[in-house]
Amino acid sequence: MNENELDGRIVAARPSVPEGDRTEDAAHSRAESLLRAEIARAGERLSPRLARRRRLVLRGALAFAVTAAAVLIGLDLGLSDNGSKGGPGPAAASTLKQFANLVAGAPVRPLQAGQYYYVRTVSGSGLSALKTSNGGYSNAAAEEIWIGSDGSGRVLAPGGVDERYSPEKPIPLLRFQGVALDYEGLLALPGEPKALLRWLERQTRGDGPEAQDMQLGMIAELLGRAPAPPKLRAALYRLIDGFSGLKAEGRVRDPLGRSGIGFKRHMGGCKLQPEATCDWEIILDQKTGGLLASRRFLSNGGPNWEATAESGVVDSLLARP
Amino acid sequence: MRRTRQRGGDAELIVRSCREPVLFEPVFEHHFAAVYRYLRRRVGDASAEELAAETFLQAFANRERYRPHSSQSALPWLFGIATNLMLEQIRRQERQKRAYDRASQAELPAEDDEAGDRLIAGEEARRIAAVICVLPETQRETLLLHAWADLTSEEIGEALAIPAATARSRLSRARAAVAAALLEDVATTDAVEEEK
Repeated sequence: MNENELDGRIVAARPSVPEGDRTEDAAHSRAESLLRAEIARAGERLSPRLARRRRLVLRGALAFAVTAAAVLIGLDLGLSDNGSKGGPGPAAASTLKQFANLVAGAPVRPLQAGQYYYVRTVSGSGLSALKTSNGGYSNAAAEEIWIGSDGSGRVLAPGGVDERYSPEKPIPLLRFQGVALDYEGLLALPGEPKALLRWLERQTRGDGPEAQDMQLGMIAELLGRAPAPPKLRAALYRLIDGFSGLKAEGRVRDPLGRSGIGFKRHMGGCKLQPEATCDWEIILDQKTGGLLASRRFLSNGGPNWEATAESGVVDSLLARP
Repeated sequence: MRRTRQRGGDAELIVRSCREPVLFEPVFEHHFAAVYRYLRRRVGDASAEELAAETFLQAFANRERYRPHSSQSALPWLFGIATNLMLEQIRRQERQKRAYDRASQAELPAEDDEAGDRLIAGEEARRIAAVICVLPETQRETLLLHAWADLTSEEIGEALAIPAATARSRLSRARAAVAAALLEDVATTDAVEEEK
């Protein structure tokens, strides 16, 4: 069988899809309206008149910011560095240490019987979430999670999937194959960065070049979705602090439009994309030290992200903060 | 078997759209159908709509980073974005499935199974689909971009950010796997016929 004949047979196996049918028209219209909205926004941003006005506003804002910077305490915002081999850049390191100190000082409040840690996450692709008129997102989906101290819980997933968990089948806190971490296990995680790294390495043994990407994903989930105690949260920041090539980005907007402090790390390879390079980013809340969002940027595609939209402790599986 | 398609001129439009965003609209009009139909074959109607829209939103957001290649067509670049989005979606679904299905016993449909089910054009098509489903990810994406999206090796290289030579070698390995499976089937069929 020659190459052309084989190609012909493979092409013939291609599923036939109707061309120009109603489904395609509907998809086209929807994509077109979303794109046009983006084009209009970009046009506004580029409008010279608006740009001039923005420059004037910025000039005023800059004067204010210089004054405000002098009185900002707690976190060093003299960020944005180039990082370095063998450790994060000085600005990244000092700021992450400050975040670690900030969260370490938070009161320890383990969940009591009958209490649930509630978290609502939004995950999607693209640079940021695009809201639709009905309050949803066109490029993202929200998920709600209730985590009880005894392993019970609930996950309200996109598409109306409502999963319930009990102490007999505890709610998994990490969504990674073969990693069974419940609330009890979370409290037992080491509060010392090196020991924590060893635990992460054990979970990703056998994942080869993808292991580091998986570890960073787990760290983001522990920070963004799990009721991690302050000591663990601080250890996770100190662990990230120890990663080589971490860059501080300064103030950035998360996918939900909130302002935070960003840190980015470049990785040579990433899961499912062995040829692509990948930048991993976390955005932290300057006031609370909590994780606002994590993002992955692929070199040959766009970003995907998960943001922690809301969290708190509630008294039932039906309650929200 | 290659189909003709209107191409060219995209590079200039995309570059100019950085200053005049509305110039991106023709790029969308030229290529939406090709990207959408490819995704529809791969992931079905509902996901294809979402992914195709997101492909063009991301392309627009990243238009300043677009680097035209020899073809001057944006199609390989768009297929690259679409492929990444599709793989990321599959990855998210698989993670969710792995974490939750132990407790719920619920099975989310896997992309490969769906793709296989949609291949209903006869027994041989099913056999080919079965082989494609078990190919390594990188070979499968290369083969399908070639066979289902009509991209050349150079264009696949652009789409997947790999050298054209790598695309060619993956294509060759994927073809060899499919050919071997088809020959094996023929041998089995002959043996059955002989027994009769």
